[in-house]
Amino acid sequence: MGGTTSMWADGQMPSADLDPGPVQVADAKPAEAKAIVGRSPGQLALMRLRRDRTAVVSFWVLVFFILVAVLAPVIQWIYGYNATTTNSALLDDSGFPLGYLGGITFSTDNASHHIHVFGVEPTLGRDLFMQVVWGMQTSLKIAVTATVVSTILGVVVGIVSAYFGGWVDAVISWIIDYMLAFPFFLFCLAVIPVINTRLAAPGGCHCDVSPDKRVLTIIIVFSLFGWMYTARLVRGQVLSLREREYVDAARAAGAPARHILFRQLLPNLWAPILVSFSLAVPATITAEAALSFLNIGVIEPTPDLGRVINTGAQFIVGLPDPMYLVIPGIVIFILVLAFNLFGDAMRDALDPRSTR
Amino acid sequence: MLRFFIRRALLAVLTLFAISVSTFLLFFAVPANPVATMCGNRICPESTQKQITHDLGLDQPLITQYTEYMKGVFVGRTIGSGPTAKECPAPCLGYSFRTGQPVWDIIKNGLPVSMSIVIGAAVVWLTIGLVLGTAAALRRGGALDKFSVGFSLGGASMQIFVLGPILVAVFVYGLGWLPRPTYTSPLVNPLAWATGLILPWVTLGAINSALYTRLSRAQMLETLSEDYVRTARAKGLTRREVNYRHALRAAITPIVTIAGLDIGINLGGVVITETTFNLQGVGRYAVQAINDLNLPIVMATVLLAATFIVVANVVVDMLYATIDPRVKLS
Repeated sequence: MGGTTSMWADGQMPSADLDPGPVQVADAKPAEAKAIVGRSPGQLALMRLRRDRTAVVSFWVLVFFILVAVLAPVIQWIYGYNATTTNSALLDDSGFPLGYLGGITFSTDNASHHIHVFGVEPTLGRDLFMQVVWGMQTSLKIAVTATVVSTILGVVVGIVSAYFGGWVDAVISWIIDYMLAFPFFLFCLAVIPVINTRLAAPGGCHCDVSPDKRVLTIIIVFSLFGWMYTARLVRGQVLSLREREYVDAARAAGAPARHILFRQLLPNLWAPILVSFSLAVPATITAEAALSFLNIGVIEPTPDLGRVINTGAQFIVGLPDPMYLVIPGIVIFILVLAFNLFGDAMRDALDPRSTR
Repeated sequence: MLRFFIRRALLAVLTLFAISVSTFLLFFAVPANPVATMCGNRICPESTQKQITHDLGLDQPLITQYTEYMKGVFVGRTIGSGPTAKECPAPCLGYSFRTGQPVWDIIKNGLPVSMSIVIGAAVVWLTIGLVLGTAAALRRGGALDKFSVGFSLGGASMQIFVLGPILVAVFVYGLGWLPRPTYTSPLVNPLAWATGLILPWVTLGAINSALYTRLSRAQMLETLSEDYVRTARAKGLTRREVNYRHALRAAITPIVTIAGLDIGINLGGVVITETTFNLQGVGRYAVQAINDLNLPIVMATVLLAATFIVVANVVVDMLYATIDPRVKLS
């Protein structure tokens, strides 16, 4: 954040010799003590995080999941089987997987001549492992993109609302309250088909919306209806920060509002933003899976954890094949749990009051 | 106090008005062609399209459409004209495009199911949440406390549509202890009502109780460190009296408030629960209508849910202001 070249772009600063460096408190607590090594709050937080065993474990679990999602094509290449190949020879006469536990097999001595580490899908015989791998990619892609967009939106709205105050703040606050009054989930459900028909051919038939566009719709809806909590959080923080001396100093030095907002205030907000971001990702994963479970989000043939679970729930009745639900269910549970644990650990680590 | 109530109520009415307008615009103005949308992927003959357009009043200006709709909600209206006109008494929310049934009748069918699920689950989650959270706070660091922290983290990461089918698999098909989840009116057979809904209650309740366990634990810990609790202890009250009459009472108020405000989030949970267990509540009707693009039902359920949330928020605000003397009204 030290680049001084672009920050006075509005030309209001008379000369370049006014270095804004000292005004910034992003790296607060300068190394005053001589013998003791000074550490920035960021370094302290990282230290606390490293010492927290739960944080470390959940971090590596997350890294693993993200790698799996990103490297899905590579995994498919190594595994040598894809998520869409159907094979009814792997199923018995009533459409359920041959063998035990939903057709889990580590030998190639079967109809597909391939291992199926998570078993196969009832009625279609697709490989569950690859479906889970690609489904993870869909889930994480939607959740991370939507959360990034909604967080950026929330931060900008929150900062602007609090910094300008007055009627701007009043209007934005009302919009936030108003949008929070919407039954978010039900609204998402209802809006997605409407947007899908818009994206589809002008004829208005929702049937020919391409799977990619459906994913885009979900990202748009989650972004548009997910920014309010971040905005509210940031607004509260800025309200208390804008009265600080360093903001006065920057203003006295003639810095434009844009500079004060995004160069002076924003660096002090990253801790709460990071925490709310890391807790919003699992919430979005949950919501996306729920949408797909209700058959409104991601649909065939895009692999998705919620959609797989929806299919799997049908095979609970009479217990012919519970594994098709249980395995993706466990995967999504671990994924969301890891995010939640890491978000929690991060909140503890970034809290300056916690000394451990 | 009265002024606060009136202002709060007026603001709620304003919000509801804004919600009704935006919902209306969204469902009847945004789709490029609502009629074709409602026909879905089926090919509608020209005459049917014309009929639907006319029935909906889509050939009229938007403002007229909106005022007609709202008029129908409050005083009833006549939909369409000529021989196909239908009398729609208040509260008129239109007719289903699939079955021709009045939307209000559909909602009336689903409402008892949804209410049964919410109320039963709320009893489960508030009981588990308050008891476990309070007990954990009273013995901080103990085994129960560790369990409650683990429970709240695990529960918060569990999905209704995973836990639900697993419970059904175990208790209905595995052990055979319970019947398949169904809804029976409690007026007809209370026992069948309870046994039919116990799995939905436990599923939704257990997952929501994670949050409330965490909240009530934190709230109780905070209250226990308050000065007045120390004073109560210092003046010689028994531990039981201090914990339950002084601390718990103060700790419960904000939790009940949050429970009221979270009603919107819980409505989403009800939708998923109904779908998971195949129960015909309002939420399941809504999901089916969305898949069918049956806009009058979608519109009505979203409006109903929004009204419910706004009213709940007002009630909670007012209760809070009355119960808690520390709330300053300004």
